[in-house]
Amino acid sequence: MRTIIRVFITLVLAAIAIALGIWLWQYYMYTPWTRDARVRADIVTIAPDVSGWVMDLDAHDNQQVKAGDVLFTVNHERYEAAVRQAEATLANREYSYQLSEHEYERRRNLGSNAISTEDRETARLNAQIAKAQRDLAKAQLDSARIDLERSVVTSPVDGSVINLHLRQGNYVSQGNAQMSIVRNGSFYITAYFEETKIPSIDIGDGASVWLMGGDQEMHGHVVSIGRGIANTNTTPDGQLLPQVQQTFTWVRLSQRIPVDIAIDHIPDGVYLSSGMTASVRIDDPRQKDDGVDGVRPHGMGNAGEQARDPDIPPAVTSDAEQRDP
Amino acid sequence: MEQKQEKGVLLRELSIGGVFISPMLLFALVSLVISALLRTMMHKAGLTRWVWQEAWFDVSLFVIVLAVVTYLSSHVL
Repeated sequence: MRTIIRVFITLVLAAIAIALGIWLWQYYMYTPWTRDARVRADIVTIAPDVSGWVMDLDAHDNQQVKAGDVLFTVNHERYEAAVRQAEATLANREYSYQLSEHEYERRRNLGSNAISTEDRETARLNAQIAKAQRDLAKAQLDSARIDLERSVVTSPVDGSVINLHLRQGNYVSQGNAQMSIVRNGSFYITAYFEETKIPSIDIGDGASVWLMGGDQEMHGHVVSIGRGIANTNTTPDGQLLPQVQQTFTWVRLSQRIPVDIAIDHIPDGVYLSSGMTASVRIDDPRQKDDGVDGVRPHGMGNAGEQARDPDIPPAVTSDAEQRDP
Repeated sequence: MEQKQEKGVLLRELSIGGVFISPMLLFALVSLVISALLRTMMHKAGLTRWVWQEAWFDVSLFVIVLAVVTYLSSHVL
């Protein structure tokens, strides 16, 4: 009898342990949280629209700038000369137009026995050509003025200057980025969730964010779930054949899907820099019963979007709709 | 959007001198200590004679304690 009780106690304990072990596994593996999240922001790269030496450098590294603030000035002597040249060309063309216009006026009024029809027609067309050339010179002057104007490079947004390597006297080329600006107030979090956790994440779900530095918790919500990541199996080789990777038979690594999280409120004292590491946990929807559910779209929240193309058979969306929110 | 302030450590990494470790490591260490204490107490109280396979019992006890610690960390603390 005592042996039976001993066996029974041990077996019951083992059974409980197995059940709790399964719960623990599910909890740890499928709770939507990740340590792999980064702070991101809107980055605007600044490239001059004209080439030349940097005459004045007004920006300095990590400086706060407002939209319209002067960042640097490219040497504009050549562009001033170009404007003067274009002005002179315009004057030249204007006068040749007047000349040919007057010629045409005179010939138009001559009688048909004084001038041939051909000569009169030539005079008319010459006047037209001169007019077109004057318009061309006008457009070139406008273009030269734009170049001159853009030799002063200004900030398009409010933000901070990042990674300024530019120095006064450097030669900058048209279209080559010289610095970048992080737009103020544009910080958001991109969390890279394992694909196994994606089904339990909905657009609109609340999220808790911790930065690696500091213990302060920030709240946000999911705004979008990435629709694509690179697939190395489709990379073609030199013969355009797909380079299909071998997988291990037993071990397969889950892919990470980027999920964008908007920060609802940045607490005082929290300093955000684009690129910081963060941990993100999606708050369990079952714990948010205070009216949030009514606002939140059902299921993935974008099942309709997924099936917008009428050519996609409805089977594509059935998974998303069956999902328990 | 009104957010409820979540309690406890729940699932988030722990920083020890700039090295970030999984919370499960902490839970496991705590559970190891707790189950060792329980084991010692049972031994002192002479309850071990009711145990059939000691190894099974120890492993089961550890898993149960670990699950309880994990649950408590996120729901009670």
